[in-house]
Amino acid sequence: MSMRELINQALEALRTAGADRAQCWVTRSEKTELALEAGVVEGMFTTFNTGVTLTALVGNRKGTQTVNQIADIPKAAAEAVEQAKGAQEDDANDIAAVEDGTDTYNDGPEQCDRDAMYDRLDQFLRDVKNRLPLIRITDGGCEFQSVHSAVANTNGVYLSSRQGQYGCGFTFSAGNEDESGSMNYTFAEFRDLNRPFRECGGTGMTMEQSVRELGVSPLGEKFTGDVILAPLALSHMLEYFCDCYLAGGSLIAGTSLLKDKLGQRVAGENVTVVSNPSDPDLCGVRLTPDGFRAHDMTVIGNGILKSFLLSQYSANKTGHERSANYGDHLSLLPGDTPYEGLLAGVKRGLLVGRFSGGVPNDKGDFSGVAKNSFLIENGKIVRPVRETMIAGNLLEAFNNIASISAETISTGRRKNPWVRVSGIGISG
Amino acid sequence: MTPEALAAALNGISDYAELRVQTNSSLSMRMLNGNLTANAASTSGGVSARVCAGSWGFSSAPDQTAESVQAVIKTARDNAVFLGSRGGGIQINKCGAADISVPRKEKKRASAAEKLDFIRALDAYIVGKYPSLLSRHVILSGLNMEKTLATSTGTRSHTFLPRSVVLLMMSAEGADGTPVDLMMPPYGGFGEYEDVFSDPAVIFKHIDELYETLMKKREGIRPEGGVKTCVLAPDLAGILAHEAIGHTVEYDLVRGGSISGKLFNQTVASEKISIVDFAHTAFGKQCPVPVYADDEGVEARDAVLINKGVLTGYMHNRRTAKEFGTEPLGNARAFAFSDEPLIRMRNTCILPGTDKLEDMIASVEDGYYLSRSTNGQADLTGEFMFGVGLGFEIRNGKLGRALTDTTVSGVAFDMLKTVTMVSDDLIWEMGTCGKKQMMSVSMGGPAVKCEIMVGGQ
Repeated sequence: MSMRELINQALEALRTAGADRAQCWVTRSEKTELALEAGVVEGMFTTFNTGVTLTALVGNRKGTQTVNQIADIPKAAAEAVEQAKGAQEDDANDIAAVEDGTDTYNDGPEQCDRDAMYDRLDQFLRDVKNRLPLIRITDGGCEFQSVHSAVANTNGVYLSSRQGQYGCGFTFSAGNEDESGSMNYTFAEFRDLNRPFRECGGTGMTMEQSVRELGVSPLGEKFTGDVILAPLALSHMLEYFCDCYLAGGSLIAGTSLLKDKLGQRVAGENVTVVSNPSDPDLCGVRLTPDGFRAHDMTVIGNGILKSFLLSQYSANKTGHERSANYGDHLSLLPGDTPYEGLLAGVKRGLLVGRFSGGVPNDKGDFSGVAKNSFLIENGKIVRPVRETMIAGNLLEAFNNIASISAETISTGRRKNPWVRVSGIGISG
Repeated sequence: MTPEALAAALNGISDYAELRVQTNSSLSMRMLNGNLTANAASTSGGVSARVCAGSWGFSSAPDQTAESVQAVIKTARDNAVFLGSRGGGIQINKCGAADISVPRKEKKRASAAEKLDFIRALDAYIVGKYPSLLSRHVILSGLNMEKTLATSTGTRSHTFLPRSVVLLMMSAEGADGTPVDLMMPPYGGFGEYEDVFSDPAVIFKHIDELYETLMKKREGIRPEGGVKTCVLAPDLAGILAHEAIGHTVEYDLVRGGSISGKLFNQTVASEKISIVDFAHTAFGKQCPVPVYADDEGVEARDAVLINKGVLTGYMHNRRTAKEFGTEPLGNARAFAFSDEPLIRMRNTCILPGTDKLEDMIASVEDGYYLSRSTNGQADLTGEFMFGVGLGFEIRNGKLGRALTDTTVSGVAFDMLKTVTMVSDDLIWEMGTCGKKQMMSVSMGGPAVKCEIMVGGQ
């Protein structure tokens, strides 16, 4: 059965069950994965799946059911309608409206090149063994995934996307007879197998850094200083920032400290945050979960808040505009300072490879362990540190970004630079 | 499909093989400030096969017809043969056949409307009694995992593992006008909605406690950063058992470089510390996540990880047990039908000691009482971190002012040597572990007194 036939069948089932308005998502996926354990390819997996999500609106009451057996669609449609009938009226519930533009997105290869994928992984493992013999890969591997999705509703919307992409990800640490180093990880998504895996998602660079982490010792002091956040750590901080201040949940709850700050300064002038699915360096997600095209967007432009991250429901609820996408590709635009220049600007502080912290509270206060990190003194990396914590506030941190590197790392999902943040509490 | 039908489908396969049919059913209902922001249910099922022919081959598909079953077996075998042609050499422990049946209990089931009425009643109670709150979240979630399994070693099992939980969170305006939030420990556990919940009024007293504690936290101070003498409440001790110890002794991570690989039979903790990963029954009662047979068809038994401070065991699957020269104890678990089994914890617990919590607090001159984990992570080095949502100063043996959110960290095998007191009670808490796949687990613990790094000013 074609995607169009399947989704029409699901919509009809919802109408028959009594939905006044209905929307369906259908996804068909196939994944081939080569899995590592302790640095050896030990498994090959091929998985197929189908997903059908049925949303029923009865008046303005909403219910949603997801199934993966086509035969279950009529029953699930009836249950979605029953769920909606038990819910409360909410004017914010709606289904996607018809927009002008492309209906179908087609991106990436259709088929997995199994032999080429194996060869890339094998080459990577040999490369690591030869160049970085102290690196121990705990797990990870590579995969090819082909996902065909479509959304349709009773407003007449029909959008589809087919995406084929490869990916690799590795969890690793450095170690020798005397020491087990700290774990780190990298991951990346890409459309072809043209590049060695060590060049994807900063994998080679991060592994080299792990080797330099051996001989780690506690910081042994407490001070307030500068922190250079590596792209992975920055990516986590950006996610926290958006969850805390810009996402629908915090706006509906009324807890966001930025709820009244649209169009106003919320970060340093050097800070521009975008989420651009059309960026050719990224494997962009082209449809939103609630049935719209995902367009490029600026979230913060030169420090000014340009957009919240709001779905149709959250936008209706809060009275703001629905955002052009919901932040799948949050990236802070690079600056013009070379990475070495960033380091040179730090009198005393930390290079933080990864942040392992508690979820920040509603205010945006954060504290956590600076993992895979190094002490910096007078612009030079002095030594690796362990058991070192950093603490601060997200809003203050994004207003205290002193400089931004020109270099970035792309994971295929996000593309971020290194940033130097002042005024962070450091203790260990 | 019955276990016998699955076993018949494996006939004629000479390699080690597993065949599993699984359906996960989940429920998510969320109210945020009275708005129903999620009202969704999902069912996802299918069949998977895994074959070991020198390497692992795995395949899965949603269709559960006889043709689909044969197709996934063939693809799994083809994958194993492909990898075997490039290397291979995996050996596995092919121990024992289990015959396990733990089916779903037949019972009249509540409608979606009844479940919605339940969370509406909780929300109405909160907003009626505490109208000045800034926000309130009420969440009802459920997950049922039904698995039918046959293995070439002779295991036939059919198990049903349900969980149902209510989560509540509130926030209020703090003294400085900014929001302060607090989450209630998960309420619920093993069972479907009807097995766990009846009258919402049963939860009202927990709501009152949550509110009263939030009011104290509004006035909270930031803790002083550094190594402090702390009493960790049972929920934090439970997550310590899971994150800081449990993950480091999963043998796939030991093979990947975990520090615990070098510590077998060595003293790694105070002699007051014993940690067990219980399979299904502890202290004469069923555990929150009872596992009777794992997804490699191994009958589940308890794994003693630390006994009176000595590291005595690891958690294994068939592959690592063979390498280590031991028997697997049922730790190989898969989350979805499309997932391969991984080494996972089940019900990981620090065993209770003999001290009274009040004596533990009274013994601290200057330190903190910490509880309500918000999240946690651990490293192969044993370095761990937990978010802490609630704490109090302890001054001269008495609880003082509340604390704002903080984080604690340490190196597990160093920190556990600082434990001087362990309380005589035990609290279990449900959790979801995120090691590659999601997985239902539970964590149990008494309160422990220790030295630990606190993130703060």
